[in-house]
Amino acid sequence: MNKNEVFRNFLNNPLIKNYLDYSDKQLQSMNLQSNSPNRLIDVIKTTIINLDEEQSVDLVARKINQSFKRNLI
Amino acid sequence: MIIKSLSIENFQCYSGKLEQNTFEFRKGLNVIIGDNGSGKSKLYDAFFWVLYDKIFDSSTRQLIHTSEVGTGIVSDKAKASCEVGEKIVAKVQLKLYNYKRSSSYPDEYILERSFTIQKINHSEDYNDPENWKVAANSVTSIEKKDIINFKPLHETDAFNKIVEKLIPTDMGKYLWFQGEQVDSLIDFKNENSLTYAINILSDINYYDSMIEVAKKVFNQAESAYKSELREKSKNENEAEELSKRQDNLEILIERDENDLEKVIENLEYAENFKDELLGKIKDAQELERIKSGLKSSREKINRLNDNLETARKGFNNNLFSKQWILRNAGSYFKDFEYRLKYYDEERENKKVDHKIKVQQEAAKKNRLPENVPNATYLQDMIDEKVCFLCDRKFEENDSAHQHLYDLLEKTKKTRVSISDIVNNDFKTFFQNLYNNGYYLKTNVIENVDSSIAKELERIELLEDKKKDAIQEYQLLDQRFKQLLDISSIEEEESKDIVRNFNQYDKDKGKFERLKFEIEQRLSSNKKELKEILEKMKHNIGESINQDTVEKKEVLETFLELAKSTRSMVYEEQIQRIEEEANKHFKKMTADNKSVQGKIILKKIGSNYMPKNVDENGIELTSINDSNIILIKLATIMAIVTAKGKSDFHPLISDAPTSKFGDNYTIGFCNTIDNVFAQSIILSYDFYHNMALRKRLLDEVDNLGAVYVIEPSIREEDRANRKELSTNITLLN
Amino acid sequence: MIDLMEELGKKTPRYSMKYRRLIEGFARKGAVDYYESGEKSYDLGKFFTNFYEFYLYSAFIGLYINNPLPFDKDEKTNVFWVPMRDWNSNNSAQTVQYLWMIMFVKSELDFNALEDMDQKGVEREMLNVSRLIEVYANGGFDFINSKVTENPAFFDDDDCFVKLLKEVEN
Repeated sequence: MNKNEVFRNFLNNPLIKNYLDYSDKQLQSMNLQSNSPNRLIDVIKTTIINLDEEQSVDLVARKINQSFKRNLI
Repeated sequence: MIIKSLSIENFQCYSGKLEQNTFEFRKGLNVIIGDNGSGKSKLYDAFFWVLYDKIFDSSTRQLIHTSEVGTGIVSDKAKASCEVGEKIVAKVQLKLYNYKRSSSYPDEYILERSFTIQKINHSEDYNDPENWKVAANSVTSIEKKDIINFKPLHETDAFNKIVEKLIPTDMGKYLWFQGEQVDSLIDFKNENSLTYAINILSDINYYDSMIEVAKKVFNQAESAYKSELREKSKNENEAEELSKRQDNLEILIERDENDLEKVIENLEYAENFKDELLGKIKDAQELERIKSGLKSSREKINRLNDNLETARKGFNNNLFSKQWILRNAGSYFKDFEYRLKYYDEERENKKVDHKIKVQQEAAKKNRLPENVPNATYLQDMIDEKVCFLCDRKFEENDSAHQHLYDLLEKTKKTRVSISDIVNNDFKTFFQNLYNNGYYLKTNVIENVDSSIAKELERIELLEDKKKDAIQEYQLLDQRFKQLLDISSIEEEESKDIVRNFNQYDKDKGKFERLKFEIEQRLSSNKKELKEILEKMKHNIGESINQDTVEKKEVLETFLELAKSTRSMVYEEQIQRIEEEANKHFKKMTADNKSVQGKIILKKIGSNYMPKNVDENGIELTSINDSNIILIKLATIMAIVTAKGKSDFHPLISDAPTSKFGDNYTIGFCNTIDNVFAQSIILSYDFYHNMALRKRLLDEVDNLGAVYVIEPSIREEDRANRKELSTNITLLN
Repeated sequence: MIDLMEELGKKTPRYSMKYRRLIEGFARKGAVDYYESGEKSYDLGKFFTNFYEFYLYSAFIGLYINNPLPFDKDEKTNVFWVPMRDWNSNNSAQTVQYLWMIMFVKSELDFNALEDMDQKGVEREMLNVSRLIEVYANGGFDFINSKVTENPAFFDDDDCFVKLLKEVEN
């Protein structure tokens, strides 16, 4: 599965506008490699990247929890 | 990848060498036609066996491995004629072309699987496994063309890699299927069926995994938050209670939400069923209308027929009833007229002659005395009662009067009657003939030709009317048959429809009430939960860690987003499949003018049901058995074409069109040959139906090879299979 | 005095037995029978309602082709049991009278002389009129019979006798 495509699908979900205040252009410019400007986007990225590396659900969950602890912004 | 040829040696009913049992395939639609029991399914087995080392066992309806089948793999004829000590090799060979974008010359491969048995004993029962030494397994070999010659490939698993390339595992079941499997391949009522397909197109599993992750982390974050709320509350007891209450409510809410989902699903099903019934009722009404139209049309034709019969058969009678027979007889009337005139003149002459004679005689006999006036004056004198000679007046009954009267009487006797001059007075007779002739000449004979023309015109008009009426009937009949074809109504079903309709109406009411109940409960429980959470917040002594709150909120959003995105992607794929399936469906039904509108996949509950609708989404006719198979086939093709793979893999199918009418079969063939670079169909339909076979050869655009297979022994005589082989004939 | 209508009307003109088959082939014997049974005569696939209708037709044909054909000596003949006064199926009475009219023309009988004849003479002349009808009918049968022999397909059409009528116009 193309992880970039998955990421794109998430960003294209209109629901995201309810929670985040980014313009379309800004959303378009985001990708998996760039820095996450936002916690939610960071979580999404973490999940996608780790699932792509075939980590188990538990492992991915742990990674996300860790990312919160480290306060990555 | 294209299959160039399939060759079989001593495999099941195909006895003989590879060269004797070869099918050469081309691009486009290849068809192998055979009667039931003629070797079609064994051919399908041959394909399957060479690639996967298994064959289909019809008794257990399962695929079994070669090692389990044993000697059953080998042809009976070969086994029967085998000497002790001799070996028999059952072989299937597949030649493939792999077209690459980089070159116009394809790579060529030869795949072969063989299975060897050796006879060690002889007995009548050549099938007794005791008589045979059987190889443990089949053996495969693969060769690739190196410029001119084929050289074996030695890389491990080269064989399976090519097989995977030919028929990728994930798509396998859509490229290679038996007609009877179509129903279960795409089961619109089974969510998993469509999901499997969607997975091929989009890896929806990935999104499912994301949802799992999101659920897990959100649940963790939420319990962390709840714990903190509890810990930091001022009043521990109250907090404890509130927490318990919160947990209970959450359980109730979850249960209600699940129930609600089910009820909504049930409602959707009920609504859907009702809609289908409505559709059927519409169809049933239309069918009834056409039926009565047919009846009155039939009556009209019968009436016209009767009138025509009467007119035609009675045509000849007009020779007399309209006196057409007199057509050429007009001139005779003039002749008769002439004769009659002559006759009349003669009579008058005779009369005159006679009268003179009589008068003369009478004059002689009845000579009036001198001085007596002429007879003509006699009457005058009587009338005026005076004598012209002597001027004497007289009265009636006077003797003088009487005397004059007598004289007058005498003169009267000199008038002439016709009976005096002829024996028979035939004047009336001839006059009648004349009058009759005159009438006929002037009123009838002149008009005979136009009368004939008019009558012929009348008959022609009736014939035209009859032709029109018959045409009208035929159009109605065609419409009736086409509607029956595409609608799902059985002719007797109409009575049940109304009954079922009422039942579902009742069910619908039941579900709606239930839904309302649950929604009410949910709403009040959620409200209470909210209040509890607020209370808990207010009970806090120290403040809650903001991170905890934020984490919970972010992850809640993440979960929602994950679920929503998954739905979006799923929906997108459904649309994709729907679009592609429609393209194929339209092409397959091009010949049936009654099929209109398009197919959509409508979400009902957790499933997607196919519906036939117009541009406005209004449901047209309900879907019947042969249509649903068409739609399923169209969907199968759509999955392959949506993935863009139809050029790379062949379609192999056994009897996909067995439930179709002729038009749909040809439509299907015309669609398949355009969708897949290569397809191979095994079919019974074209075996007996010569007209259909001709249509196949004439009407299908990209037709590949068409073969007919026939067993050397008929099914009924098959008890002895020792001579069984298969005859293969190429038709084009 | 003799009633000529009656005298002619009671006659039953003869036909040659050699045309019996022909007549039966094209006509239904005795219209009355069939109307009583409820069947219409044309349902039975024949052209003429009854024998005398066909006879009448042939007489006119014989007239139109100008072929009065006397019977051979010793020729076997037969009559219909319906006298001419009752020839009225399909309104044919008028046609019969027209035929009589024509026969009077053709016979060159002197009408005036006829009136002077005695009973026996008149009867004899009326018999001659009937005989004249016979020879024309005979000529007509002969013509139709030949046509049947040389071109039987001609009679496959429902309108063949009307066509024939047009053909013999001269």
